[in-house]
Amino acid sequence: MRTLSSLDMKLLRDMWRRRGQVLAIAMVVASAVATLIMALGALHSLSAARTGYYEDQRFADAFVSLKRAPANVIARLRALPGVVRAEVRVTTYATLDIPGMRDPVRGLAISMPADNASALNALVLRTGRLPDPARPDEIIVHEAFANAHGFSPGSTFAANINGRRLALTVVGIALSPEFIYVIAPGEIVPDDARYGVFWMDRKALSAATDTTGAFNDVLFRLSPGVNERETLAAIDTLLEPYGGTGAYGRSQQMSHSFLDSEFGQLSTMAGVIPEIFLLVASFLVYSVIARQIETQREEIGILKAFGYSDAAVAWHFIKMALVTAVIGLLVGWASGYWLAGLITDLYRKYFRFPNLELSLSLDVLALSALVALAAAGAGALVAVVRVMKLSPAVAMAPPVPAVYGEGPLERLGLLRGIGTTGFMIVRHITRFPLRSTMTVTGIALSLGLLISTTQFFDSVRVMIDTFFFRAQRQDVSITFTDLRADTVRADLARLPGVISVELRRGMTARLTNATRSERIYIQGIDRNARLSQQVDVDGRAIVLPAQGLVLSRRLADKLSVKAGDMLDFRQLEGRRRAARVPVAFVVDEYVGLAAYMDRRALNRLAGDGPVAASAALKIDPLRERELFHAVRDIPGIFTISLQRHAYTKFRELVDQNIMTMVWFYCGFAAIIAFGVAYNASRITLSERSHELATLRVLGYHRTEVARILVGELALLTILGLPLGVLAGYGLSLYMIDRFTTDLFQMPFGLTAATVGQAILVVGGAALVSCLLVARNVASLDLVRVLKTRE
Amino acid sequence: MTTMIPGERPTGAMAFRARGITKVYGEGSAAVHALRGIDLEIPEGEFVVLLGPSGSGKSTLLNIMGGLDRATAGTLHFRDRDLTASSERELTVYRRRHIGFVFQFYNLIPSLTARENVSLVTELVDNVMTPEEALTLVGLADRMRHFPAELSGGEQQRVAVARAVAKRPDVLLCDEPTGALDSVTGIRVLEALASVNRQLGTTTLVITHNASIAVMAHRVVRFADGRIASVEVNKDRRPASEVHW
Repeated sequence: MRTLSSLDMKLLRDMWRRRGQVLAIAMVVASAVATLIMALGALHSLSAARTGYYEDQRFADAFVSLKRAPANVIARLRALPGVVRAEVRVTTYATLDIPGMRDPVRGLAISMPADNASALNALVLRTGRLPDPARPDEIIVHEAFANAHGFSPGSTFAANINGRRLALTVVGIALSPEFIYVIAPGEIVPDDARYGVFWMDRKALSAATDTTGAFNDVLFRLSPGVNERETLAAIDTLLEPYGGTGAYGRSQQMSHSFLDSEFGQLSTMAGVIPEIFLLVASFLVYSVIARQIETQREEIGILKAFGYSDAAVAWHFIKMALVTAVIGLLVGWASGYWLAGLITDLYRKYFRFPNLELSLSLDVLALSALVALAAAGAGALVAVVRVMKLSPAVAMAPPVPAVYGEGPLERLGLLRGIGTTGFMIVRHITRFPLRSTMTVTGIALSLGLLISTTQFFDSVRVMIDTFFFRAQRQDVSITFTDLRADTVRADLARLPGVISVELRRGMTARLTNATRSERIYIQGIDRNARLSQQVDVDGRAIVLPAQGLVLSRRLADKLSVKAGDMLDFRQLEGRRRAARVPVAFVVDEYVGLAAYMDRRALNRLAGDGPVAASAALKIDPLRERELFHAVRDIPGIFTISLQRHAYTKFRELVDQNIMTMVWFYCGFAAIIAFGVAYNASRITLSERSHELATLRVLGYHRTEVARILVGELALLTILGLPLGVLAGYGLSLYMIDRFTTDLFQMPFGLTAATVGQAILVVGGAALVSCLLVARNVASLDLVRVLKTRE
Repeated sequence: MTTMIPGERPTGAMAFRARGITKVYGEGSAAVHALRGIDLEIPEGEFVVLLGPSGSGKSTLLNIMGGLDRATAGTLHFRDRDLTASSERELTVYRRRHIGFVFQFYNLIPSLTARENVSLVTELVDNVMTPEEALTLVGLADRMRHFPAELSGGEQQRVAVARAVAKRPDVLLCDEPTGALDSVTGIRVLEALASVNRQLGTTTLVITHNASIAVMAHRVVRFADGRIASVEVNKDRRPASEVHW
């Protein structure tokens, strides 16, 4: 083994002497690397898993549902320019009777592809076998649903489709690229026990849905590079006579877009949080190296006098930064890998992949190494510029004593009464403005990071409050198999336990403004509705106008319209009416893309009389069972769902997912605050050891001397806190904005309590680190300090 | 615990009584014997000069007397207080109440003005001079608002003297107070020390390499190799202005 050069030995000894600081910086670097690895690792794993899954199972590029089209339309669909492949199928919603399950369960029945081995959206069989075409009762169920009910091949349950009761037998359990994220239409969280997807023989399903010799759903493979919009428009034109509800690409496919929004969040995290750590790490490296150079002036002078070049001496100090970064990098890789594993485990619960493995690509590792070394190197580089400037003779002479003066605050007489030690604190801070600014900034950034991550608690609270307690205040939602006349209100009101009934009607439509066009589900709600109100971001109930559309801000922006503008409305179902509709107003609310209209106005627009598609019920909770029992026997009721289940599921999702992430970030923010405060105190202690020892000699007690150290850091922390609150506010807004997708918008609900908690964590971490350093006051060597010139 | 031998009770006239003080740094083969059994009495109000080559133990003894360091063995009394049995906290209080220090490198706080450097001490104890009085005593009344970096070496050392005497200490301990000064400023600092000793009756111990300072002293203690070589009482004291450099 080659022996270390004497300079390298010096490097290692210097680092060992400052091991506390080296470790603190390494931890900050490690946090940066760990968040980067965690976010990019999870992102890479998810996206690689999705891409592979899509390829292997031939996930479709475009999708469309329609009322009913005869088989001969298939050839015309296949002939459309841009369409490489079109596969038709039959899908329908069903209500399921699961043995032992008293709550209502909804299902989506899909016809089995003719040849699963080559079909689009091919199933991945996990256990069992494919159904025997000769056995109409044999089905394959989605693994999520199977797990929720403990199904295995041989399990049986019944489905009610269009009033027909079908006895079904599970023969296989499968996954599908179409249902990586399984969520019922209209729901905000998955509920695998109450919503399930299953596949069955097409003939049997056609018989039940009156689509024998016909189809009501199509999957497309488009030619690569084709203009998707044009192709989708051509599909819509062709399927118009058959009740096409508007073709859409992957970006509007439920499962796909949920994954997209998750990817977006991960890349936001990867793009914001590590940068904060790296910036702080740069600051810390700079201040430590700068101090190191300050204390080693004479040694540097001697090295230079011996003939070491500027570059060699500079490299010596940069190496110290790089070695520190490498320690952080290794710790960061290990903890990032561990965290990415935890996150991937979380994802496995919600995203159903046949194979979701944590995979760290070399480029993620390389990127993290690059940024970690660059951040540390940059901090060191700024510091070593001073070494270059030192001539050996000047370097070997003792440094010119720090020149202090009265600051502007003192000249204005604002600091009267702070005592002599108070002056020591204030003047030391103002004497080193760059370093003080870095400490203040570091504290501010750690607080900003903590606020902007923990504010998701607040967001979620606002979301829950808005959605469950202000907007969707019904206990039970019922959907009808077909449109029902308003007289259904009286029928529902007679059911046991029903206190009040509100009818709703929605429809899929295309809204167009010149070249901008969106396929959207318009919700028709009665103007005087109490149970299902729309609520804006300020919590105000939105009163729908008698005429015209109310659009969410995001939809209005996409369509580039404002209140008073006109939109082309085109119904994508039913009578397929077209009309010019005014935008009554635009609301800021927490859903992404949404449009509302008074139910009566919407019915008129559709050319329908007073009809409803669903109902919201307020019920007596004690009579819930009775109600469910009665509803089962009523024809025309498609689904019935309980709001409290959605609430429970939502809370579960939040508790597991978001909270886990937030705790990570609390820890990370504390690491920054600790690192910043520890280094600042260490440097102050080293710089002021002479002064502090002198005070001890003069008869100051340890605690009185430690108070100067703690006081300085406390003052810097107090300066950093309001800045941190501002930074947190700004970062929160930014993150909220970045987390917003077409699916939903995160509400901004930062509370004083969250800010207060963050201040306690950051202030606490700063105080603890400072007290750790302050303990060293006890070991100040009074005698030695007095014998040496500073 | 140290045992009190009857009849050995410190009299009011003795500021310090040292018995068999030894100080060993390090252990085993690396042990350095800085003091090898010192017996010494310093009467109240005297101006005492400690002479001796480097490493002869005078600074070590001064530090132990000032409560900055502890003896390995032996007893040291300040008046009737046993310093060798005092806790760390008691030693701090002792320094705070009774001792003024002046060092070779001044040890002023660079971020504080001359006046504020003196205030550091006057804020700690009662019955003190004002910083203005103390600085006037050393002839720096017009430099009070200056920071150390704005003062000459001699001025800085006089601020240090003002800081040491402002609390009217019972003892002034000076370790090479003129070591870093030229003769003119050195003499000015010595004059300041002498006038404090004279006017306030402060027991003053001065370590120096400059044997000619001995002419100012009531008593001259010579050190050699961790022991006291001789103690002379000076019959014919000369003023600081007659010290040769």
